[in-house]
Amino acid sequence: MNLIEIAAHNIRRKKGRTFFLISGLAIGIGAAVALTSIGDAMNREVMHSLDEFGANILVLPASEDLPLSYGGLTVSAVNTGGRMLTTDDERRIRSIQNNQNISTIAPKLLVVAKIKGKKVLVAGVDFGAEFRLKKWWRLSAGMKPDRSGDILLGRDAAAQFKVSPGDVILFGKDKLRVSGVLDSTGSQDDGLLFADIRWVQQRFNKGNAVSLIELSALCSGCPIGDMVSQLSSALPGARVVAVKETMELKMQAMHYFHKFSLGISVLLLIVAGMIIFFAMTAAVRERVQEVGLFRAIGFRTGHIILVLLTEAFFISLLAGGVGYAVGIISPRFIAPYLMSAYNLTFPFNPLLAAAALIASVIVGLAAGIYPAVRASRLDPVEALRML
Amino acid sequence: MSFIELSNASKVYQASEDKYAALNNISLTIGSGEFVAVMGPSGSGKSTLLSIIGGLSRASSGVVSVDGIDLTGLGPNRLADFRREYVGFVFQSFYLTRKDRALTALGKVGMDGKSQRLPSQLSGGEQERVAIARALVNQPPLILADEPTGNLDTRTGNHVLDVLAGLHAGGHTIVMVTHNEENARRAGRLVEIRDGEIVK
Repeated sequence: MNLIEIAAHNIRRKKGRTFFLISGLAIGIGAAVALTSIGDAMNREVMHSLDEFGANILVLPASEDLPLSYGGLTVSAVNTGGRMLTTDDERRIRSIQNNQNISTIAPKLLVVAKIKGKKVLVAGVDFGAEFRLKKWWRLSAGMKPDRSGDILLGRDAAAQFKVSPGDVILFGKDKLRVSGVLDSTGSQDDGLLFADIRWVQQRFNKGNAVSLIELSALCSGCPIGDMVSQLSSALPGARVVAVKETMELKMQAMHYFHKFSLGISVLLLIVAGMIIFFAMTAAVRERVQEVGLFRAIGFRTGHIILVLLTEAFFISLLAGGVGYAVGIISPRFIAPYLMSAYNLTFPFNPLLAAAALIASVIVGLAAGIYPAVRASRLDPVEALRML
Repeated sequence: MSFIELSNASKVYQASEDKYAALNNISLTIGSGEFVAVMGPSGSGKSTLLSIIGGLSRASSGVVSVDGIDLTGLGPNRLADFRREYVGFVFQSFYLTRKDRALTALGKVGMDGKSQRLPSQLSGGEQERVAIARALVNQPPLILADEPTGNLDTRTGNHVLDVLAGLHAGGHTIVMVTHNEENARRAGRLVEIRDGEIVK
């Protein structure tokens, strides 16, 4: 019988103790895995939501003539010189290396027009892309535009022109039908008039020019900086800006979730380690006679340590496996009750599985070292006196 | 040449200021293949003598050697190696061994038919014979038995002594601690110890 067989035999012999140790560590590992899984799943969900929440990259003309403000950003070269962006730039944007991370491309053409004697900023947009980009847009009345002559008004603009859905606004010779009015957004959109971008290009003789392009990038798995560089290369003469607030919010959300789950996980592992430590210390006290006999028949101190640490290794490895299984399965049942607002998914994560096993073994061995060394230092004469 | 040699060996236990000499300048030689009984009252130092011959503890002074190996100069791990190679201790039943060697050893003590039994299913005499079998597993030349018949009735005790006599006949050197004079007479030589000193 070699040392590993002795350890395995002891594990089998003391089924109750083994079950207790495995359960204690497995609960700790399981809770840590569950927390990490939920944290990761929430992270993914939040990131996805944030990705869908609006533009995080703006493409603007490089020229700074005649600035106009849009959404707090200066939009240049709307009416004068410089290189205008065009609808063809959308194709170039699609050609960048990280194009799979681009969720929505929303080009805009901003023009100043006079309606009913009042100046108004008209935004030519692709309504489909715009509604995908601005998920917070709600109609207070009417419906989404569905044809070229339809316009959408911000709440303040509708109030200013005293129009409601179904009304017609004369725009020179053109008649534009108000299809809907946006609910208040608290942004510049409230004072804008939105029309189909192709109609605006045609009506204002802009060819295929656009003033700016807003991009929503799914950046959970991509560096936004790389995308900005790739877009700058693909669009020479354009200025590509990452919207910092959105990214910082994303990073902050990620940071909080990771910090929270990591902190609780470490705490749980410490508690699990203490359970192993006390259980193994108690076990050594119970096994004084056995250790004494081992010593009497010629076991070196290293052999005693090896036997006890091998036991700790097997137990913690098993606990790691059980803990991972519990930790990855339990959130599937718990999450719908606790976090119904989120659509969380818990795919198998081999890295997390490996981390659970390694963490479990490290905790088990660390907790087992002191009792094992203490056992190895037992005086065999004293131990055998108890026989 | 003597197999076991103790020369002015002492064992002193110290608890804070108090010193207690369990063995006091003992000199003793035991030849290879001898069967020696050690007798003496409780606390006389019999078990201490056995533990320093077996390398379980080291003498505080003097020389203790077995088969030419000076045990007083060995560290804990070398002493463990010595115990593994040279000594079989007879204490009580225990199961730790390789199965093939265990069966051979059980055969030597007439217990091969009961190899599947649990300790609780064996009588006191049978458990003691298993303990002897365990001591034989590594085929050590030296058997140290501490009160091997202490908890047994006379008939069962005699069976155990028969086993030890058989091992002696097979060439093993045996040192047996006992309180019982009749048992001591089964050994070829009697050493009497009192207050840590050999008196006979």
